[in-house]
Amino acid sequence: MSLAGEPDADLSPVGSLALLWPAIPDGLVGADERSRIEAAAARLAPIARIALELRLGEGRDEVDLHQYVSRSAADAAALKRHLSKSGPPGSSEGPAPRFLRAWADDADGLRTDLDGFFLEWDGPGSASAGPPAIFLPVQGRHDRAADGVARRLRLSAHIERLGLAGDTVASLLRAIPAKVSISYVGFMLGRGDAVRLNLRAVRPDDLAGMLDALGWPGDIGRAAALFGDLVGLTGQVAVALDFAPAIGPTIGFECALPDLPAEEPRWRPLFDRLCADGLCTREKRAGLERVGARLYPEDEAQEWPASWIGAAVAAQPQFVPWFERRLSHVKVSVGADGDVAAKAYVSAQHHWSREVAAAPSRATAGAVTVEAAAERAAGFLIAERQQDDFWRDFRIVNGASDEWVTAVVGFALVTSGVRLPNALAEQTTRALLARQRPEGGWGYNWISPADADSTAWVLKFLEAAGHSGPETSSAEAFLRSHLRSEGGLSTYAATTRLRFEGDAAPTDDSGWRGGHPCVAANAAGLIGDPLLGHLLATQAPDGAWPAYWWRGDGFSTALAVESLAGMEAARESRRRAAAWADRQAGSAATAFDRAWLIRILATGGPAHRARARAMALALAAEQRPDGGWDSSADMLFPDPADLRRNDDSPVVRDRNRLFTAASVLLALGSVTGADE
Amino acid sequence: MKRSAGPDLQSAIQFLSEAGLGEGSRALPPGRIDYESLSRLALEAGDEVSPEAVRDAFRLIMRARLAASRRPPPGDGGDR
Repeated sequence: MSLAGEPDADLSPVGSLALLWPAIPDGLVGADERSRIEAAAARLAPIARIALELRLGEGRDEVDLHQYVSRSAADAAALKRHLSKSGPPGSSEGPAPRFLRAWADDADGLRTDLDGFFLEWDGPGSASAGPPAIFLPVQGRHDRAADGVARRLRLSAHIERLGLAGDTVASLLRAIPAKVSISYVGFMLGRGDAVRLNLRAVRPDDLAGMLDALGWPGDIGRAAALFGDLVGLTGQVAVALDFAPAIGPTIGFECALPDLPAEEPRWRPLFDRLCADGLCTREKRAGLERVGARLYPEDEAQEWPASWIGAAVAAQPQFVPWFERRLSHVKVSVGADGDVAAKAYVSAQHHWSREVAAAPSRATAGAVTVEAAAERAAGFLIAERQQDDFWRDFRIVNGASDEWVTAVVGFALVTSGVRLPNALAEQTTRALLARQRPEGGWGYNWISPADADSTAWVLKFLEAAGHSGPETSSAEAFLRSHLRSEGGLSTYAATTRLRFEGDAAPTDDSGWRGGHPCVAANAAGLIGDPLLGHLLATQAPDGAWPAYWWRGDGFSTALAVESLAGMEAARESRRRAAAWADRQAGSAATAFDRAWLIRILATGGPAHRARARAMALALAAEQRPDGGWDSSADMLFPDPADLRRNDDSPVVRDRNRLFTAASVLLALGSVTGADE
Repeated sequence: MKRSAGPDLQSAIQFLSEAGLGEGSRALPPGRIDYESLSRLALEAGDEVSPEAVRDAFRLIMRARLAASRRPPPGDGGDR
């Protein structure tokens, strides 16, 4: 990722290797290969964003080299300086240098239209090394169908002008249905007119039909089964197809996980599978699991490449560089002859800034409506669904949440009133039911044990989706088993064994088994008495229901108000909650907090409802172009021994922005059609 | 006697600049981690600095920048 205004400096990719090699065991890259890769890297443009492509099978030692060039002015300037060393273009200039010059000059808006590109050298530095492959981005995850078609057309025009692979790509981009999102197109310049298309978000159910329609000559059933397994393990798997111009014999499944193996528990079962299938040696696995790190030049004992020091010192003072090496993704290739192999991609990148990217522009400059914002929010959430039909967000020691987050997002979507894809509710229902634990509940994710809050959200979703059956009965019984004899509801039952990835169970977890008002607020509408009575009795004097798991009380209070809806004895309680929300509304800063205050105010009198609608319009005006909002759902991760909310607990934010978007979608729905 | 930077940011920047490693620096050795090369480069420029002094001055500059970037901007000190 590159930020505007980054220093215009030459950064040798050899520096990336210098910081990468100490983490790479000889079994992954041998001494001869290192020398060869270093020699090749020294000849690249001075942009320190590279990756190595490593074979994981026994006796497979070849290493390929990749480089990423962003659309930034600094990268273009570095590329231009690099190209100038080889003199003016000759009449026989090949497609690769021709493309690079066009990129550096932004010829015909090439760089304006595309975010960046990858170069890939097979066997770099060897006698047989040919020109690099060029990979160009095609569509974004959040492009609507019409935007995707427009992007394909613009890219086709560039490809034609540059003489890359001729008609093959243009006809492919026309032939692939608009509903299939093409993430990258690659030009294998060393293999004639061969091109590769990377497709995202292909559902496991759809792969066999797609391969059949394209005439892939291999065992389609076997390939589809493997693809389904990989989607089940990682959630997101891109499909790589080669054409020349007919479909090639090898297809690839690229499995990407968002974090380093030390932070993302799903790498473990993926590697378990690869090793069990003989696709990855244990030594290579161990090396890859340890490769990830972020390095900072100011740290004691952290060395820094010599050629990067001058650039860092000369840069403007707001730039403090850092470096990241990481396991980017794993690719499993399946040949038409039945051969299966695996590769890993390890990136090694210099970054200039510790800051996150500047706030993106908002969705609309003209009139904003609540209804249109809800449509875009639903579109954002639908595009973020992973191929195993789960949504994932937050990250704690056990990784991202899938079961709980999927239930909340699914509930927001099916109650939004927005027209959804036909099978979405059914697919979400199926995915969640497949995860129901023997004891009847659901949890934060597949590692965490079932809990009352996640189970309550799944029950709310199932009811909204129109599903009922024996699963709901056992889930309700599970929920009731969390009622406490002294009143209230706990998140975890006394008999539940808490589990943390890689760590022993906590010695004192009485806090997480205590009574939690926010969980009681969520579940009271499902359980009824005695929990409703408990809710009424535990409202704070100011009108709120204090949360245990959240930094603010708006979410908890809104859930309580919804659970008490329609209960005549709770009228005064709801009025006090609305008055509390009205007092909070002026100072609530985040989209998440305001969303839940809107849900409370929308249940109040005319003045409160008017305020809710005005707040919803303000949120609509802050929507990002992709349909989401800035992430702001601040969950707390208290020590398991904390009996009450501990405001000093680590804050875990919804990094993927799904929980905030789902909250705002619910808020928008609560004022849709309300008094204008 | 080999020169070394003072303990403050300005003298660290001046030190590296005078050693030919600051703004407008000449061609540096390729990307290897090699403070010896930097030290030799400075020596060619007529400045005798130790590899450790180059490293320490660089770290000092980076730490100072980081500390400055994490300081709240003026006027954001809770006066609203």
